[in-house]
Amino acid sequence: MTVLPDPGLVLPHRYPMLLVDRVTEFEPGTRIRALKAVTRNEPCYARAAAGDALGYPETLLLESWAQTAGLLVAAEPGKLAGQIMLLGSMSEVTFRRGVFPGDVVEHRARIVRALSTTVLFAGECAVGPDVVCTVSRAVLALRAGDQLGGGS
Amino acid sequence: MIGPVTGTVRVVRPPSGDEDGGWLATTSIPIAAEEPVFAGHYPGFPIFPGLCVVDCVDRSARLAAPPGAGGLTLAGVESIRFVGAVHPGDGLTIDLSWNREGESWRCAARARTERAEAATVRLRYHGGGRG
Repeated sequence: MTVLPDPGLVLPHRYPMLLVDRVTEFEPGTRIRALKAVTRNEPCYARAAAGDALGYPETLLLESWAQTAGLLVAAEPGKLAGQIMLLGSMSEVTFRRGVFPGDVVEHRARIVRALSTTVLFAGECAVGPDVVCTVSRAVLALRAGDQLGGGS
Repeated sequence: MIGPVTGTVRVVRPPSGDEDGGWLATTSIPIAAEEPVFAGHYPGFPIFPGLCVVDCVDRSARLAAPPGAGGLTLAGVESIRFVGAVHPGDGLTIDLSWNREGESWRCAARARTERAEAATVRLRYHGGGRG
């Protein structure tokens, strides 16, 4: 049985940008599922004013999904070998409905193609039975730690 | 206001019609070292998250939307390409180019720091809906 990786031990991200709570399925080199619970206590809501729609920002939803995709690579033993991961690009993302405090988002990411220095992903985000967001393509780039020029 | 970035977006150039029936606008936002996201992205090694650049583009788009676009709902991302890092103390300048397609609005944006281009972003909005 594969041990499920702990996001906080695998990713370099920390509060307030560690946006994956728990990995639920993990097949190295293939696919991953992980959960992100959205709460009203999230820092992004700290400055919410009366009347603001409380939708979780789509940009943070994508960051959370991308961190899940990154976990699939970073949690594979020996895969990174001192390299760092950068999100290089995303394309054809569709938002189907909003995500709100109290929702638990399940991120699903699968590797479409893996090259030596780039990994292509696709996947989606779901809340309960509803797919709330689909990601047709995301590209993570692996770079030596001292070559931080682009990406994020 | 709900979002990960605390800096204030300023409209440098309000939307104006271009010769092709679209709209052009420019905004700017300072990325101060005090932005909360830097504490965790990453500890001791602050880099502004790429999707926070996209968040700045989204906020810019809503502030500098074409007249009559109404309340915009983010429907999708056609593409995002990250090309350069954004560091604490940088200022982002964002050029927006709007085009209407039926009930949808497409917003193509280029975000750059004082030093270099940071990202190219193409967003798609539903117009006139909920705010």
